[in-house]
Amino acid sequence: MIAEMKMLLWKDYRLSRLILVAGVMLIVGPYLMLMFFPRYWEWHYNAAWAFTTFISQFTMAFLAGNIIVSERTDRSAEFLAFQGASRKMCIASKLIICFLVFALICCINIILSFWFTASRFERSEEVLIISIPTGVCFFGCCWLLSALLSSPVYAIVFGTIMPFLIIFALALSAYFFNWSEMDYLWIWYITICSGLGILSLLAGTWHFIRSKES
Amino acid sequence: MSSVLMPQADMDNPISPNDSVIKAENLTKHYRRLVAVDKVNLAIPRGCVFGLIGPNGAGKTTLIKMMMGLINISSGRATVLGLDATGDEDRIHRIVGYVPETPTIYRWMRVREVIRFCRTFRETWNNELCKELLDTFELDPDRKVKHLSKGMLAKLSLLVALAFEPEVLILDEPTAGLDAVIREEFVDSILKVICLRECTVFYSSHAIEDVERIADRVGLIFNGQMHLDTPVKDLLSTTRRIRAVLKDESTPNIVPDGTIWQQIDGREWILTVTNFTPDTISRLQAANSVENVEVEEISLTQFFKDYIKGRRVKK
Repeated sequence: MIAEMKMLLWKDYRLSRLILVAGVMLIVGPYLMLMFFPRYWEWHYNAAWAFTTFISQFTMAFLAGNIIVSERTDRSAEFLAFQGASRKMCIASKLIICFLVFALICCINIILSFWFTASRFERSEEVLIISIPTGVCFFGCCWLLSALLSSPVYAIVFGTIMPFLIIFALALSAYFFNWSEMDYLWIWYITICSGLGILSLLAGTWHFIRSKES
Repeated sequence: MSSVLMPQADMDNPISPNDSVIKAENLTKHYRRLVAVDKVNLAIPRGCVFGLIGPNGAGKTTLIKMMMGLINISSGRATVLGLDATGDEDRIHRIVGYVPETPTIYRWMRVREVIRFCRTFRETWNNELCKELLDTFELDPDRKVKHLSKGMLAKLSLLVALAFEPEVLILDEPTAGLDAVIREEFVDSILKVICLRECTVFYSSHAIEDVERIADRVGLIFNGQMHLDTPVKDLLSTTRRIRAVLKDESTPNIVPDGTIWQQIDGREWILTVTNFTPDTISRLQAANSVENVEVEEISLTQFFKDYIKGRRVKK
């Protein structure tokens, strides 16, 4: 059982390696650029922090949108199916890889962020408040679509536009119902994104366990 | 028999040596209105090599995928080694060697990685047999799967299906698109396994000469229905092609029983007849104006062609 899980983890890591490397490079890149600035100001740092935080979310969206469906695209999911690996173990391995990647890129981002600020500037907390529910929504929607569709492109594209659709819907509601309080709008955004992301994650996992690959 | 190979099947679904290893009861699959497999019944005993033949789109792959639990069954039941294809599919996958029509092995893996990966899931993996097959198939362990030719990929697929010494081997058109030399090597390897171990083989193929070479029994599937399920020897020993010359301006009156196909070319009347006996000729001559009658044995390939042509004409 442990050996099988290790093998599945290795396989899923290999499937996600390119996305992981690209994500880490895009996170490290802006901070490296800061290093070469003769002198950097607070807005330089905040731009890098905002960029890398959203890149973290996109990396997770790409990972979730690719990790299930990529095996269906090249039909290697069939090969895995007739090896006798249980569906629960397969999905657990994919989830573990996603959470490990998430932990890794968050660590890199936070460590670099602290190292560069070195208490010189204050990090913009608004970026975090927006990015966490957005990331949850990206990840959950891409995960669900990855479990349902047969193309990673569609899974990633439709998964990543979901938070923007929510913003658009909320903006329309604000316009038609004359909402004046912006905080009210953000609470709705955070609630809907987080709820949709978690529900999609659960639905995608449930669908994967129940479905057959052929 | 290995103690590891069949533990759960023995405990939960005991099957005696005389029971059928592969069984299908009214197995049906439909995709909306299209019936891909229609009430197929099969019972393949232990140690039997069963060849499944049929034209393209007849339902061969669908039947195999249902038996392997790779697709949902619309109605009916399929069991392999006593394990139900609906519910026990993971266990079936672990103990049955399966070679699909198109190998779907991870293309980014190296051959040695594929072997390491598959070995993890197979408790009865035989390293020596694996090495032997690697040498026989001349597979380079360091080569990436994406760099393997079609023939080499088929061999790797067969290697991972054979190396854990499965009790049941299911092959779904594994030699499709391969050249004659590789096909022969492929079939030789299967024959070797059949000879060395009491392995039950379900072999679906368009290469009917290969089926004739290795199969004890043959099944013919057409339009989703199993039209024939009989020992190859019996079929070929009782099927004959009759060439009769019709007398001037006469036409055939009565076609012998068991005629699956006939053709009239000028005065020549050619028939393929099953359940052939010496009486068939005398009855043919008595009922029709024929001058000269010749009887030939036919191969499984000829039988298949004539059967399908005959069914299409009937339709």
